[in-house]
Amino acid sequence: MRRLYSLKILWHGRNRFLPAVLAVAFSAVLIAVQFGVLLGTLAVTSRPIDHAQAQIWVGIGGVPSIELGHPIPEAWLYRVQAEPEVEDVEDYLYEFNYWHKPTGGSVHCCIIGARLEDSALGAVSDLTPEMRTRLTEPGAVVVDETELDRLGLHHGIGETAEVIGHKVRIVGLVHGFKSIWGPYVFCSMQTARRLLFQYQPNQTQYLLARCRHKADVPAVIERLRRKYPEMAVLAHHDFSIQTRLYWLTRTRVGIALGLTALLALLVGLVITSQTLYAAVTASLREYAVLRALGLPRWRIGALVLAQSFWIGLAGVATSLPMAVALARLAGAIGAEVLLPAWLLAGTITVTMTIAIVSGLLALRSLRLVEPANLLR
Amino acid sequence: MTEAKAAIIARNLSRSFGSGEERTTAVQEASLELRAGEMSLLMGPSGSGKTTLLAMLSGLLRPDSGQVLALGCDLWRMSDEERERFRLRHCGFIFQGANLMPALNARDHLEMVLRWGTRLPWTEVKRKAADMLALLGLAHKATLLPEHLSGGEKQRVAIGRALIKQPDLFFADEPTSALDWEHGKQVVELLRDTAHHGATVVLVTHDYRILPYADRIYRLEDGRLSSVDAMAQMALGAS
Repeated sequence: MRRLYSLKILWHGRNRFLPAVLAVAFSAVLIAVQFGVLLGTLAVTSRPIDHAQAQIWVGIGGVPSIELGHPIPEAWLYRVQAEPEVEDVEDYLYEFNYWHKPTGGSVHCCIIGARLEDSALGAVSDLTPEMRTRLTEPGAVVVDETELDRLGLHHGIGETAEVIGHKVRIVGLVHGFKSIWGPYVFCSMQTARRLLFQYQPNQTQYLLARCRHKADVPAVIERLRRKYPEMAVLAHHDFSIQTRLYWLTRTRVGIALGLTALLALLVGLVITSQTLYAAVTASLREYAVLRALGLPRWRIGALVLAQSFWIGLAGVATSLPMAVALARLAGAIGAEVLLPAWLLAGTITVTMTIAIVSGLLALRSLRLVEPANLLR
Repeated sequence: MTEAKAAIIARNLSRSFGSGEERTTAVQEASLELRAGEMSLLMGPSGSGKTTLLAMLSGLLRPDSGQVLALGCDLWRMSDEERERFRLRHCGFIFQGANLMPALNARDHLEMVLRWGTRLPWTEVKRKAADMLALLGLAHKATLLPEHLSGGEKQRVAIGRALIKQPDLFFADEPTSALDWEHGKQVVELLRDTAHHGATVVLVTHDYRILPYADRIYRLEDGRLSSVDAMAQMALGAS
C-alpha cells in the first residue's frame, strides 16, 4: 500500500471517485444481467430439445428453429429406421394453438406431444413417471408452474380449460419452462393429435431418433442428409444452438438487449473518464511540479491509468455479487437469468477494458500540464 | 563553502509575450553568471521579468534569443527529452505554493521522486527519505498528510522533494511569500546551506529580509538586468 500512490489518491478522494466506481459497477451489472437474461431467454426456446433424450431430430428441410417446423410424412420414419445404427425412432408434435382460459379469453400456447414411455425420446426429462402415467389419460396436460396465471388457472392440478373446443385437464406442473411466446403444454401424442387437428394421422412434425452407439450419430446424420435432401437431419445439440441463434438474430430481443448493454458501457465510459479527467485537472499543479523536477510524463500517465484500473476493479467487485443477487431475484419471480462463468469472465474483461479506456481518455488532460505555468 | 565557479552562464537572453501592438518584452538582453556554492537572488518589482528569467535559466521556458549554458550544456539546443533528463538529473525546484499532493504524506512525496526518478533500490529510497525528513526537522511528521502540516512544514517538504535527488542547480520562485518570517527564515537557511554545500541556488524574491543570506544579488527593472553587490543592496534596502 505504501508504494501504491494511485490507491492512496483514490482512498483520499473516495467521495470524488465514488460516482466512477458506481458507474463501472452499474455497467458491469447491466452487462451481466442483460446477457444473463438473453441467455436465459434463449435457453428456454431450446429447452424442449435440451431436455429430451433424442440424439437426432428430423424435420422439414431447411427448418431454422423448433417452432417453425411443418408437417412431414410419418412414413419418413421408415427411412430413419432403415439405418442399421438406429435403435429407436418416434414421432413428435410441436405446434401452436389457442388455450381458452376458464376465466375467459384465450392465449396462444405451444402444444408438445410426445411418447411417454421411460425410454421415450421426445418427452422432457422433467416429466416424472407419475406425470407420464397420468398424461396417458385423454386430455391430460402438464404446464409450467409459473404459467398458471397466463393460462387463467389458480392452483393448477385438477383444473380444466379448453383448446379449440377440447377439454384439457392439468395433471402435473413442471419448472423452468416459462416460454417467451406462449406457455408450453406437454401431453401425450394421442392428446396432441386431438388438439392439433390440422395434422393428418399420417403426418407428424418431427421424427426423433436414437442410435445404439452415440458415436454413430454423425455418420447416420451425414448419410440421411445425403440420401434425403428434403429432410432436415440435425444432431440435438446443433438443433438446440440453431434454435437459440435464430431467436438471437431474427428477433429483436437480442438486438434490444445488446443495445441496452452497449448503452450501459457508454454510461460507464463517460462517467468514469469525466471523473478521472476532472481529478487529473484538479491536480495539474501538483503534476506540473513533478514534471518540472524532470519526472517523466509516462510515470504520471501510469499513475492515472492505475487509478482507472483500481476504479474498474472496485466497480467489478461491487457488481458481481449484485448481478448474482439480481439473477436469483429474477429466478424467484420466474424470469431466468443465466450467469455462466464465461459470461462473468467476459463481463470482467469488458468492464476493466472500459475503465482503462476511461483512464486513457482522461490522459488528455495531462497535455495541460506545463511546468512553466507554475512560475507566475 | 566551496570555491565558486560558473554553473550557469546566460548570454543575451530575451523573451517577449503577445504579438503585434500588444507585444511586451519581459526580459531584454539579460546576461549573467551564477556560481556553484552561491545563493543568488533575482529581485525587482512586479512585472520586471525576474520570474521569466528564472524560467529560461531553468529550462522551463524557451527564450526568443540568447543562450543558457548550464553545467556546460547548451540548454536550449537540447531536445525536449534531453532537457527533461537534464532537469531530472540536475535541477531542483520550489514554487510559491508547496503544491503537494493532498493524498500523499510527507514521506511519500520524497520517496516518489527517488522511485520515479532514479534506479535506487527501495531500501535506499526509504533510507534517503528518512534522512531528508530528519534533516528538515520533519521526522516526526513523516506520515502526516499536507492538510495536517503548517505552511512552513509544507514548504519544507517541497524543498525536501527538490533536494532529495541532490540537484546541482536549485531554482526557487518566491519560496517565502506564503510564510511568516519565522518559517520563511528556516526555508532560506536551508537553501543557503544547500548552496554552501556546493549547489547553485537561484531565488526570485521580493523579500528584503533574505538579503543578508544572499551571496549575490541581481536586480531587474523593465526586463533589464543589473548586478548589485550584496552589501550595497542591504544598504539600499535599509535606506
